Amino acid sequence: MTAPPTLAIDASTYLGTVAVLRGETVVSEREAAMRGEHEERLMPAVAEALDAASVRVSELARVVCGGGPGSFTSLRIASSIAKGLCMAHGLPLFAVPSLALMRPAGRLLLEEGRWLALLDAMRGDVYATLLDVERGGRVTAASPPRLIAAVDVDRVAAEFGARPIGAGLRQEGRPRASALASVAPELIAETTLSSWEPSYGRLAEAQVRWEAAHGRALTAG
Amino acid sequence: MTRILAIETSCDETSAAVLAGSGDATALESLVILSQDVHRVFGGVVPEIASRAHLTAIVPVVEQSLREARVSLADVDAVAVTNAPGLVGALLVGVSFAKSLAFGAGKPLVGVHHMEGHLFATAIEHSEAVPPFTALLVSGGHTLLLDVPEWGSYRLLGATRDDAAGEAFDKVAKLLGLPYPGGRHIEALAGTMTGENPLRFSRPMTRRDQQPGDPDYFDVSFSGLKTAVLHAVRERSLPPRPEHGEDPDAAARAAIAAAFQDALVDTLAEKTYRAARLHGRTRVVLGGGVACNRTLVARVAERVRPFGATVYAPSVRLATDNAAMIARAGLFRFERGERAALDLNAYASQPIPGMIAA
Repeated sequence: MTAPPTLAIDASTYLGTVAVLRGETVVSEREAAMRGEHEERLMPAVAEALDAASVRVSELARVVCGGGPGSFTSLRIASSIAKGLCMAHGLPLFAVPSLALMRPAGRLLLEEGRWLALLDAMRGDVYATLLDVERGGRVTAASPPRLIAAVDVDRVAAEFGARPIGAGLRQEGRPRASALASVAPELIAETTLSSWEPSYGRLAEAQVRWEAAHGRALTAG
Repeated sequence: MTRILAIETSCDETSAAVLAGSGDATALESLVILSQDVHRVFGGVVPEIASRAHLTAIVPVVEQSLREARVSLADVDAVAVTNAPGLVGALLVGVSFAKSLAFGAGKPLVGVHHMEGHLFATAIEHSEAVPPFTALLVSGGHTLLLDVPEWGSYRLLGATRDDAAGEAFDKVAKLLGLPYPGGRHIEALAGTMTGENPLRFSRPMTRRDQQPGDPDYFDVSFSGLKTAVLHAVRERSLPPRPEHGEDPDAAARAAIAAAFQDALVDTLAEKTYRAARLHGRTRVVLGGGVACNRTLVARVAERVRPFGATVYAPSVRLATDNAAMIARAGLFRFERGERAALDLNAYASQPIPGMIAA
């Protein structure tokens, strides 16, 4: 008997990725450039991935969304799509740290050991997460993402005995939805559909300025 | 009968509505509007904060709208969503959510232009507010004067050359030390004005010798009026308005607020009158947040009454951004056979579909 299907979506970077998985098997995979001028391509990619896997939304066991950090708008497009699909059929929404989906370019799995997974956070910074990878490529632990200066990457990596991986690095890599197949279940958490939002990694710039000027946190309401 | 579930997230209101009917016979079954108060501290809408708030509000707002309408998603025939114009990041939450909800539920999707929604808003409450009519759409982002011979055909007659009407209210409110958004605060303050107002600002671009065809016959401009207010505040050396307690300069501020509001609404009333008269329309429809201003509604009605025209204005809930109007415009587009594809995108600006040459 095949495992019930999971739909995974991640758009932490300007390349959104979608995969339909059954257990640790990737049944179909699609990618889409985010923020096209004339069309939004992630939703068509979701429909194509489901179609290629011959899975209807109602048949999904769950939707797993990349939970950031990353590109604010892209994260929100993926999250909004995930929420709409879940609401349509009462599906549970799960989140996985986007950096736990980091995989080397051209390969399905990370080598065993400790990795420092990195994503561009702009303004000279990167989001960094330490990943522990066991033999066979399963990601068993991911530290909470930290914002560090891009120039400090080698130092931080050395400090933790980790190999850096990310876009434009010697070990080129990026998050991929299909990588969910090799992420330990403990890193995939069920969310509350109504209130969930990704970890953006940064506050809105206007909020940062306001809080600096007022010396206190801005509370909604 | 068609039932539409509509979603609107173009600015700082997360809204969902359910509307059922056909043609111009429709019934609003529910309308939920969640306003984001957080932007007040910034004196304007912060796009990134608005977009984040939409994402955490969208599911509860849509669920509530279905609950209040006593229907389930299965009872809905189509999903309509605002996809332009507005804050792109904010719009994308509604658009992405609506696309996946419609796809997941196997329902058709319709993209709706926010300003076309405003044209339909009044018809939800007033069955006579249907074409042909002259429309004045006034909000924080737009000031449009349109002739509407029929739904889907919109002749753009005039627009603002600088600030939108609502924007002018907000800026003047700031000059007078009033909170954001400024419209209702200015109207309330102007209402405290007693006796003859010693202050009068000129009505921009309303010379008597203007002729139809002149470029400024229908257009408006409020930046000069705003500057006039600034000078009036400076000439009176008005100190900042106290945050608490009585304002010793309340009378002076009320005179400025009233003079500003008079100039703005008289200008809009004159332009609307010209449009209705030229096209022989006996119905005038107002829309957008500034249509909440009762002085504006009364002044336009007064100006067009001599040739027998009637003015229709929406209630406050339907004048400001809301999904009911998106449902109503979405129904029109749906009945015309229009369907959006899964690659539907969001746009900061886009002409209203069906614009015809003036």
